[in-house]
Amino acid sequence: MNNDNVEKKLLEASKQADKFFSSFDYNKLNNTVLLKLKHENNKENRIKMLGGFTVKVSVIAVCFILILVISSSLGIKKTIQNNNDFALLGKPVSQQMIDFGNTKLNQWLNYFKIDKPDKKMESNLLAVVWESGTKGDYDMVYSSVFENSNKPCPVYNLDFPGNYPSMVLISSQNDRSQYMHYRILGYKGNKLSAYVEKDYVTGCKIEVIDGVLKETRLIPSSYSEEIKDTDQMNNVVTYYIPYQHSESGNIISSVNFLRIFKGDKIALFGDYDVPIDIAGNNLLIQEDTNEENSIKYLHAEKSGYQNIYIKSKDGKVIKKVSIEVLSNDDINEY
Amino acid sequence: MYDFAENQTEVVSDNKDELNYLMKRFSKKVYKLAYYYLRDKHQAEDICQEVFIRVYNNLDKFRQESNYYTWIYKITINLCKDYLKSASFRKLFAAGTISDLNISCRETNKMFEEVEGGEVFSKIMELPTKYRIPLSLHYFDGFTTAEIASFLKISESNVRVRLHRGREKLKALLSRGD
Repeated sequence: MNNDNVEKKLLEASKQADKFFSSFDYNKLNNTVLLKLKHENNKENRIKMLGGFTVKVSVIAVCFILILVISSSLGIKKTIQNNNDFALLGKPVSQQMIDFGNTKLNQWLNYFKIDKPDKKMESNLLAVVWESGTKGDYDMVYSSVFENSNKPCPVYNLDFPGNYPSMVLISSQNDRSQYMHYRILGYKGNKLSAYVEKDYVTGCKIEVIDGVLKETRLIPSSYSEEIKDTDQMNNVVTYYIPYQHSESGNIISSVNFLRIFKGDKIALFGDYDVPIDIAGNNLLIQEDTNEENSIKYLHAEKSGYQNIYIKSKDGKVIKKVSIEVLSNDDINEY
Repeated sequence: MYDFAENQTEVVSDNKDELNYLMKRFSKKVYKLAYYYLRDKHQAEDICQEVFIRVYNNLDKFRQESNYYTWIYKITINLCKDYLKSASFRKLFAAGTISDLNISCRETNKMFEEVEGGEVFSKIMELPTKYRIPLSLHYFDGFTTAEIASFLKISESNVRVRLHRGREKLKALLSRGD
């Protein structure tokens, strides 16, 4: 099928959509909204008529009953929960479709609740990525355990320009969102692998902006044996820039330009460990790499403008990423 | 370009009248957008009602900095995303296995073909959300890439990439059907 045929099919789909949506009764929908609003208004008026005193007494009574009910059922709930934990094994607590930009394969991400062999009642999640096989069956292609964590988060894509495969960010939090675990997954050849694996990231917020992962985490302003005051925590922002090699040997990154603030960090990671050069006036200082040497960290020391060059091993192919470092005085402008 | 240019100078004094005006003008568009996200008539209807209740409750806060439709579309998208993240949706989703889901998808498609005769439309609805939404907004509702970028809070080039990849995926799906 060529592109013209696809355009024709899309035009056909547009007509089918019109037909499909024309059957819906929009007047009925509008009337339902008006009825709901009228009902809400009546309810508000009734509450006002009841008067402040009656409402307060009711609220106190309800709270009192709730406290009694909760405190008396805590023991029962705990027992039920203990029994159910084993019953939940085997069924996913969450299921999401994921997409690496490969048109031929379907992938799903499941989170399963699991316990450790010592049966200690912790909330651990097992993340499993399934891939459709040639016969329509599913094979497990990746799995990872997120310890002490019970809240799966939505999947994010780190897209590359053109038709290059995406990377996918999977993550989970604990109940009170004190920390987060996350993995950045992508294909290395035919194998799905984790490029970045982070566990127990305190006060973590993640967002994906134009194919770059922005991670904000809390770290203590000074390290000591005991953290006495949680207010002494600082935000540290790290931008994870992915790159990959194309079939023709070029290096592709998700961005060509990135604007960050002084003090922020940059982490470069990709499908092969390659040397990185920083040209210019030393705004960005290269820090240690991770243990596997697969992630290169840079730290923005000064404000200004600088280029990073990601090089192939033989140095023949170079990818430039331009970085603008803003000073703290510029913060108000952005 | 989108076929209705919003006339921001139109002044409607009473909130209920204003709501009526907005519902007449946008309910179809909002319903369609919610359907693109949720692919369920009843859920889309619920979201649509919630959107206009929120619109009514926030009319006084609407500062006319953007078009009505941009504002309403953003509310719709946020509500759909919240719903997809919500416990009730996950519970519904996690209740079955992958094979159950495939069977359910096939049954839905069959229903589409028999009742609506919309084979290509149902194929587009099978695509992942990130391709389905830009394709639907562009080809069914006539939005430009700039407008879609503004609704989805992504760059225009990203919208173009998604449209391209979406077309490729659709091509693969349709070829498989042949």
